Amino acid sequence: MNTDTKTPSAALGANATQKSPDGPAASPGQSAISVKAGAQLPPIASAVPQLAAQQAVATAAPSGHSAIAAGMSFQGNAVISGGCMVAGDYTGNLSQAEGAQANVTIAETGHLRGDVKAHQIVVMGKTQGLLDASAGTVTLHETSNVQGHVRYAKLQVNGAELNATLEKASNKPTKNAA
Amino acid sequence: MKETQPNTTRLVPHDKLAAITSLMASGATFDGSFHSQKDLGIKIDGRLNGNVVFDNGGTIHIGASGQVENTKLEADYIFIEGKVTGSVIARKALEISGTATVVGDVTYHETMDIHPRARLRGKVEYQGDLEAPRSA
Repeated sequence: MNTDTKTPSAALGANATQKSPDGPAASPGQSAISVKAGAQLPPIASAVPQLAAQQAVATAAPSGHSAIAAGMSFQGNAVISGGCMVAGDYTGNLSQAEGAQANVTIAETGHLRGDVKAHQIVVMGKTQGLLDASAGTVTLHETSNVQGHVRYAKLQVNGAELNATLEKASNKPTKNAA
Repeated sequence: MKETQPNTTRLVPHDKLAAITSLMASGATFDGSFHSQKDLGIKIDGRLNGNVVFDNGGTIHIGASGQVENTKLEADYIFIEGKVTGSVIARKALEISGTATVVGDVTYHETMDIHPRARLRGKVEYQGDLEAPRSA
């Protein structure tokens, strides 16, 4: 029986602060290595765990839908391809990707300063700027406060605070850009 | 080392991740910065070219499809599974998973956990008090 039992696995694996001379008890799952006094340590192949690349943590997230929660503010431009819900502060432009049909919802607590270009725009909060849903619907709800310019194919206003110019988008594909 | 179940975090508390309310979907590209003074959370599955800074609290989860460039990520809890180019500052816990690539400096004030398969190119620095006693 070797008196000079070296257990490097205890130092590597276990997170105990005291070094225990009797190794096997300190690190469960790791076999103690006993080495003759003065001899070289054998390569510790078992100490480095051969873990496969970890799978991503699956937290519930609806695919394609972005959201900026209340209390969060974003400054800059974004290009989305699914949906976006703005409940916080958004300063900048929000547009849909080429060929995508995005739905943008400005929630009651949302405040958007900038231009929105999407397929469908629902406003329950505050917007300042251009709302462009030339191929789709713009819906303004009672709690909305819209300033600027609204471009739509279909418009629905449920009693909004509206201080904007309205423009029905023409169906002609080769319309000169305003 | 104990092999944990594949779909759970090893360090960042799962209830912090479950309380995330802001989201960047995987098809979205955001060019700009997120900022909040509240203890909120954000999950990034798309492309972000800018910072994410939480003044107090905050949880940042960069999903496996997330790509963040030219960034400064600053929050209490940061869990990175995707690609980050920029600086990362985690005031409480920082976890970098095996699917992550981080190019830039990473700073943590309390605890950190880096999966063996993570790819890191930059400094990893503990910014807390070096002499402070470690909790058991």
